[in-house]
Amino acid sequence: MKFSLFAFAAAGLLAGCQPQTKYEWGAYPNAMLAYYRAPEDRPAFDKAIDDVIAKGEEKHRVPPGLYAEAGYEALSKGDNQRAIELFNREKAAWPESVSFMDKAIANAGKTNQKVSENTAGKGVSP
Amino acid sequence: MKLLQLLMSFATLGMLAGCAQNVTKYDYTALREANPRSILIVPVVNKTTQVEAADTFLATLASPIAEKGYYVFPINMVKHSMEDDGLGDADMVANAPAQRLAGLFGADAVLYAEVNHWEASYALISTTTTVSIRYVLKSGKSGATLWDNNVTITYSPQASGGNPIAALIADAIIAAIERAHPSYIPLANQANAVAFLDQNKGLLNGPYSTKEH
Repeated sequence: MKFSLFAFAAAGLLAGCQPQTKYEWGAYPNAMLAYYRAPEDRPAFDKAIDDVIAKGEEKHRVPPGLYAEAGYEALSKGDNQRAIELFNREKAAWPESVSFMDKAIANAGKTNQKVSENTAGKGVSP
Repeated sequence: MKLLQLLMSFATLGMLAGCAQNVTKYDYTALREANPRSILIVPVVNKTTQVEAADTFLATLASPIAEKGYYVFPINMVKHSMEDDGLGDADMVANAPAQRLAGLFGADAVLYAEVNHWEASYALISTTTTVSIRYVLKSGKSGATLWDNNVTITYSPQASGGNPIAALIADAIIAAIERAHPSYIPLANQANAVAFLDQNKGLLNGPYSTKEH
């Protein structure tokens, strides 16, 4: 809410001159900060990631890391199947992510039960 | 809001460009040789009393670096994964060898950022914040510094342009909002833009960039 008022004032005065970015970012940065401020805002962060992917896919503008972020959100909710699917999409889109995603996929495959946030990242252990 | 941030970034760059005659160009030898494709952004170190400084910068770093043409590892997933690996403390991570951090994720390079100064002064129709931040990019293979930049910016949210009276009212509204709920994301975006886009000291373009540096 605090952002939207500000955005409204700015957008009103500066309408019609949006510089082009390479990727769709949407509310990803703002929602991440809001989530770090208040952990109960995680669902909004979740939605921001989904929105970026949905909008970005229309024009091949999904930023690096976003499928992985979505996968991690799925994993933290215990949906390992969906998480693995999204980690594979990150891997297919960005070869630089293969090593990290392979670890994340192996980890998600091992854990069949609901995974808590605390155990979700074990995939990076050396 | 994004428009405003970007416009202000461009305005700042314009000012920098105007007085850049005797600025020496950064020595990009090490960065060119390492030629990284992927950058791991690790938690930001906060040396100030502004509690949100680190998270504000962490949340804003992915876009400028990805827009430069690099693969950027997923910020939130990396943050949690590092916490699970006993690397939750930003100060500790800052002292960890880049090779170790890069090895965990398969990253070519690691970006460290440190907020060193943060001072806000509040007034009726403007709120001015001065921030200093240091960025260091290190090789994931050798640990050597590939690129670094120190940026100090003074940020004042303004709804400039158009009707001066409307702008003044808008400025007062923005100042009021800033006092009640300060939003430092535009400030962080501006600092990042100055750091990464500067034509003499900015970060070189990465493999996914379509533009020449």
